[in-house]
Amino acid sequence: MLEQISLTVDGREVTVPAGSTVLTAITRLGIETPTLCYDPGLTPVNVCRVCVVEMKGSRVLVPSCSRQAENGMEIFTDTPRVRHSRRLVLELLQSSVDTERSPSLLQFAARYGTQPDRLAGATVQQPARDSDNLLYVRDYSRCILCYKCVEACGHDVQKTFAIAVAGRGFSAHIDTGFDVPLGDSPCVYCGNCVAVCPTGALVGRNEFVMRKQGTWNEAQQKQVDTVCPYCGVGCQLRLHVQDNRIVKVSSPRDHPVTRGFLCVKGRFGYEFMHGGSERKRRARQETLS
Amino acid sequence: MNPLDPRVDRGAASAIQRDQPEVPPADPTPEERAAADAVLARYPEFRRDQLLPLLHEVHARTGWFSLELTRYLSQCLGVPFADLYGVISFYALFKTVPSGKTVLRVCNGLPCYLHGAYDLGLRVQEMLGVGPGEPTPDGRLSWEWFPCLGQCDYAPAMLAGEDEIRSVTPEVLEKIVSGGTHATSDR
Amino acid sequence: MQLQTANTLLRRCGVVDPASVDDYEAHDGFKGLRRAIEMGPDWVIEQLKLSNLVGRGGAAFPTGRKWEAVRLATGSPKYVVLNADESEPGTFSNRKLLEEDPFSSVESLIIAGLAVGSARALAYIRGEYTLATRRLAAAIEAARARGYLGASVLDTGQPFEIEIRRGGGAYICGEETSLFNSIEGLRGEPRSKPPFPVNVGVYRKPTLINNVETLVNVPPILLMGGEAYSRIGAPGLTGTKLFCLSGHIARPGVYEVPGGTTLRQVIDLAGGVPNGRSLQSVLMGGAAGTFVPPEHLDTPLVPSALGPLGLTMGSGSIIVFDDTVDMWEVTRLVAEFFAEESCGQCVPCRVGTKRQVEILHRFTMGHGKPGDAELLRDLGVAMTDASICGLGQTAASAVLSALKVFPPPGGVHHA
Repeated sequence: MLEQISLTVDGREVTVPAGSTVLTAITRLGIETPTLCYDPGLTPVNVCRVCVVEMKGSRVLVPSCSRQAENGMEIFTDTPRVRHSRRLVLELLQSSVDTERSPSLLQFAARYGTQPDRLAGATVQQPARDSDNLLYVRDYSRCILCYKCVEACGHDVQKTFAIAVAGRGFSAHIDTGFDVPLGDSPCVYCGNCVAVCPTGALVGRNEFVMRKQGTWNEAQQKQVDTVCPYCGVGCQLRLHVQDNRIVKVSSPRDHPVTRGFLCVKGRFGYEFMHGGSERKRRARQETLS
Repeated sequence: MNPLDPRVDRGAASAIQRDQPEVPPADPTPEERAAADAVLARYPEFRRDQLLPLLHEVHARTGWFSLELTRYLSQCLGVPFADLYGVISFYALFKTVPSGKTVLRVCNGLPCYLHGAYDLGLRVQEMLGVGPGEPTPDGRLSWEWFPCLGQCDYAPAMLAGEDEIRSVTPEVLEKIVSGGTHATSDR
Repeated sequence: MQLQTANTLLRRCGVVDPASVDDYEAHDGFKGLRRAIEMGPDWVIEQLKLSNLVGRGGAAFPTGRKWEAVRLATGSPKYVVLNADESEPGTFSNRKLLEEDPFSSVESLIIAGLAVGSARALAYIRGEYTLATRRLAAAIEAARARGYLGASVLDTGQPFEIEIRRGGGAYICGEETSLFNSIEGLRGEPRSKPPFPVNVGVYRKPTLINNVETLVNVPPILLMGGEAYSRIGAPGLTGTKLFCLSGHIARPGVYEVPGGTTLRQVIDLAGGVPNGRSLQSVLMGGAAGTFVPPEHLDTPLVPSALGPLGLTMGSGSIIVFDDTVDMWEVTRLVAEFFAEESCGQCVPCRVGTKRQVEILHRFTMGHGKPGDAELLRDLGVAMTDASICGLGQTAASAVLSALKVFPPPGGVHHA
């Protein structure tokens, strides 16, 4: 049987299995913690620093998503220090990155009362990379450098290593290497980076184009779950359907087989559903863009 | 050594590099290839933790990492291209744009700032006739600002290539720019 | 108090031929190692604990405890790492020790290896220290030729090897976990702690990592005995400490004084402010340090006296500014240094250091906005509290101390 660890969070006792993080303990008590770079399916990198909490005996705040819970820890999730740092982290992001497509970030920002204008300065605004492939778009104006795409493409999921972090400091960014077009990289277009991106910096081409045109309407979309027709694994697909057309494919992150990860066929190979030849498909693409 | 020698197991990453014939080959120049091969021969059983020493050696010969050279190294070492670029672009001593054969790094740390670093930089710029980062027309020299070199007891200081130059005076600078050295290191 | 100068760590510098084993041996060289072999690892660690030696790189962790923790750590192989990345502005003591007395580092590393049970040391030297690297490399070869390194150190049957690794030009790689990642061939990005290097270090193995200055204290401690060493200096900083004086100072250089010496005494030892000018301020601890106003110059250089004043000794860097200097420009230069050196992993540091520069830029150009000082303070607190590593945690220290110590630049509200 797994050893149990006991600690207190905001004065309340909680018990978690050994090996759990402080975040697990906090969540178990029903306390909501903002996270941006944390993903249960990826190695924690604790770079966003928005999940920080105060811990008795620690000089600095502690990242709850990766800190191992230990017996006797005293954690505080809502002190002035915690609220201050969380607010600043969110303000720094909002002032430097286009965070409009990250509902969770905006929700946290509202909760902590951010005023990003007071920290206005240099941003990572840049043209979207929307013309080096037909399947997805890299819009790095929205990138918060959470490392999730690098992990999904690399060690944690796909092991393709088509992208990595390059540069240093404020100019650190995601790069294919000398910013070569995706076609010149080992990218296999599995779209798993798109699946994990929390801010819409990586987005399917359909969605990118429709949002630009103002025709993307999530409220009107149905989600239909089915099984991928392409190979014997039988991945669970979640089809996002708007006006009777598939506009996006995802897979539930908690699905026991896929964990939310697909391949190029499952994620992007749905145009055949709408009929028509390759030529017609291209013509449709052109009218969309 | 055949860079794609299948007998040397470099893991999944290199398999991806090998099995993607559609990734367009980008050939290094004959000089780059020769420099890389000379260094690679000294690392017959390359491990990832030898990467920085290897990069230092290649950089000492070529002066910078071009896209083509980096692609070649990526294939030979089995280190993914994006990953390799990520490492190279992290370290300030490695250049990814062409530089002069000798790079003059003028220290702009606080003690040097107090001892005329800015005037020194301006003087270097005047003498070379190019701005920071640009090679001189003959390709011999380029210059840039660099953070504290740790030569604060001999401010103002600079690096000329790998040589630490202390107490830079106009005379010392003249000698360096005209091709001599006034290095501190043992020769 | 009469200043006691000291000459233990620097005693061979400028005296011995750095290439000669014989010269080193003639000046007590390798006697510490012989004593360590004779008395055994437990005794060595006990002496370090008795000495109360604390790390000299800035973090001041008790060295004996660190060596003991590595000795007791489970996991193998174990490694010893020499942190010679020395990039804190105004610091050059490691450079001097490696250039002028390289065998002392070799000897200390071997002692460390034998004490903690490691057969391999990695000496990580910043890439810009060409001379120091050459001198250490030569010393390693010469030591090996005399049987101090190799398959059997001095015929003890215990192997020890030292390998040099050069940095690529990154201040952050002086942070121990960044240094490990750099050795491993990765970007020099810090890891989260815990786990700590004593358990999970380079190659994820138990690692003893020490600054050069910390390590070269070991042979003298073994020769005089830990207890005798602890009676030199002052509580909290026993033994002697190297301070690097630079800037507006008559005789810039490395000075060795017992712990407890005051800042004024060290400055006077280096000849004070030259050219008839007066001292305006001192930046102590490098870019990661704090500005010391003249009224605090008589503070003894020990943590117990500096801490309550919000000051820090750090690496021992002391940069002196006379009255001609625009201290807000200096503060902005410190901020620019951190923005340049931030690795970029975490939000508070990556964006925070950039914002610090931007705010200070308008602050020093005379277009500061009302609330800028408060903004700098808010930013500074978040960077200090929420950054992953020591760089982010100290990137605002100088700025926050400047706000306390310097009058505001013309035309700026200091609300």
